[in-house]
Amino acid sequence: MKTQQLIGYGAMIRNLAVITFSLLAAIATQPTFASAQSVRVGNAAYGDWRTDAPGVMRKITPADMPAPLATPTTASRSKVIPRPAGAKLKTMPGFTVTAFVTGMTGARVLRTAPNGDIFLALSRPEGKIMTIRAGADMSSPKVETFATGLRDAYGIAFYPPGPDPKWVYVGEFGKVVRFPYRNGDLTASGAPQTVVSDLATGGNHWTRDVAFSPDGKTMYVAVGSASNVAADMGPRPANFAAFEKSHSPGSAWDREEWRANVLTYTPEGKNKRVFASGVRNCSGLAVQPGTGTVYCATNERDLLGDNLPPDYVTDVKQGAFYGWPWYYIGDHVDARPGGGPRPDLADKVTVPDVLLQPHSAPLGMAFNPGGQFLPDWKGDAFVALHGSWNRALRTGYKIIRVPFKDGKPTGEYQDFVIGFVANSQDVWGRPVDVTFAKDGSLLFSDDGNGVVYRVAYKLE
Amino acid sequence: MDAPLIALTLAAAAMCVPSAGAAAAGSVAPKTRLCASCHGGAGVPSDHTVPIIWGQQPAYLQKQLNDYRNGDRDSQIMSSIAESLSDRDLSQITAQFGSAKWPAPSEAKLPAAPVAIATCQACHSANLAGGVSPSGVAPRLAGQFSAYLVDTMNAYADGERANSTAMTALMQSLSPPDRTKIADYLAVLR
Repeated sequence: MKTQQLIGYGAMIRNLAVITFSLLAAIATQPTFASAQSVRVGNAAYGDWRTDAPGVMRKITPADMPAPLATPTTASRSKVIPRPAGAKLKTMPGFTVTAFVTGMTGARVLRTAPNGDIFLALSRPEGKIMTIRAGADMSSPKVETFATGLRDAYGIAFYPPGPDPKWVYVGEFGKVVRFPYRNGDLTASGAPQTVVSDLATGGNHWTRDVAFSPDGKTMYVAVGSASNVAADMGPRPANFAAFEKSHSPGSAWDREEWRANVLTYTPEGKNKRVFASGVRNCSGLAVQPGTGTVYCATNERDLLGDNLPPDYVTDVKQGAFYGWPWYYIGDHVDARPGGGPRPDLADKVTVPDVLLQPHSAPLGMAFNPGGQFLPDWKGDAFVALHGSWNRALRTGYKIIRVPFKDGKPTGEYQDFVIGFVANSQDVWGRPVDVTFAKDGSLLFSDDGNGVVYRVAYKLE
Repeated sequence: MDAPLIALTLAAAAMCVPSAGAAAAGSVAPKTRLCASCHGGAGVPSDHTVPIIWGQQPAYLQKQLNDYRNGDRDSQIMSSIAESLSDRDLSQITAQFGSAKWPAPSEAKLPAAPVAIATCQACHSANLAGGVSPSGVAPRLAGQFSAYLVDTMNAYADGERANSTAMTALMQSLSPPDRTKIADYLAVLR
């Protein structure tokens, strides 16, 4: 698990060509890279925090899934402790991780404004939006308060898309609000307007992420389920055909109505529609640059055993059904939901693109616009895994890279930043969201100890 | 590396619950094993932000599990677990935990009682062991972990926990230092 440093190689290769550059990575990283070259598959892909290592690649497929309760279900709540003396995060050779901003209790969603300012949602106890401005080299970050008095402040999106937004949208408890904004504003210049006021509240899954299509016509809002698997859901609504038509096939009802969905509205909050259903908890939305395809980082269900079911990252297709609560990862039946079985949906479940170690809890994701990390990594997604509770030995608590090829995920992913797990009980950080700063470095938030970290690539 | 976890799991399996009759304990044992992994195999959680539930008022435990189940109280972990319990499981489990002996009390010296403690006693009973009150069955506070009590009082005050209107109003009337004083006192009360 030892991480190699590039120190010492930097001067040697400073003037070498790009070709040599990637060769250098191979030289400098040899032990880690050896494991990276072989992708962990099958049972080996599951693993736990003890076998995480920067550079490790994994690929989990539906065929690798065990039967429900092949292992007993376990509760292993992590206790967040301050960073132990000497504890360090580990990343891949050539990269450095440093604490960028501290003291950000409740740090959740991170977004980069078009002018390079960083927006950060502090969700709880009081919902706030903070702004962070740093130098061109990301030095000397200064934090300002953009807005306070929010409740469960989470998703942040700039509108209209492009270089000159006029509004900052924020998803919070029961609603989406927007603040007037001009490039460079570090504090809100006016009171928020409520754009959407009918988002579901209560129960589990309070995060509400917000994103816009590149043409600015569609606002996506992700609303997670109220429950684990809708065990208390009652009989189907009367006139079920009409319900399915108005909510999209595969949507659940009762207190799950308009939940486990990705919803769409106009930017003015009109024309509410279900864009996709059966997405248990899409905690992080990201729109792929170039294609405008919407992706979700999704938390799957609990209490089926250590290695079931995988969480996932997927492109979200309009009208698609991703299984919850009746099915998981394709047509695998879950018998726990109330309201009766749904054989009619068995052949309508879309299998997600990238399956993650079960219970990892992917929360936020961002696409790498390029500019600093390895050239091959441009267009790859990076995802923050908040970490498991429903597993004997922890998974998650790390940042992963999800490689894309020709605009599509390959299905593999790579451990990129690890090291928050101190022992079988304690952790000293819980990653929530990622964003790429203007200089191409990666920032990620930790709501365990209220820190924003920066991962930079440097040759020396 | 995992010795503590393994030990915990074994302890959980062996003694996870206060047996209220072997037959009854057997039927919900797989479920109470889950409880024990956080709330302690012998009734003492290793993480002091997790409450002691052995010897807690059973009607209080029952209400909390119901609130987790129906969404009136929010916790990723507890909501999923409560949802997996049938009504019968729920009564049985809460009766078992409720009838267990409150774990070994703190040996620390009792500080002077904070003035505001009288307000707590109005519902949580004179000895702070909980019981029937005007706003439902109040939980035992005496001997509960200070860290858990502070978190709970703050959560009521902030609105993060909203399943008792009486507690929300009361906690908002106390300053954070007052809440800490009360918690520190309650934690060593026997």
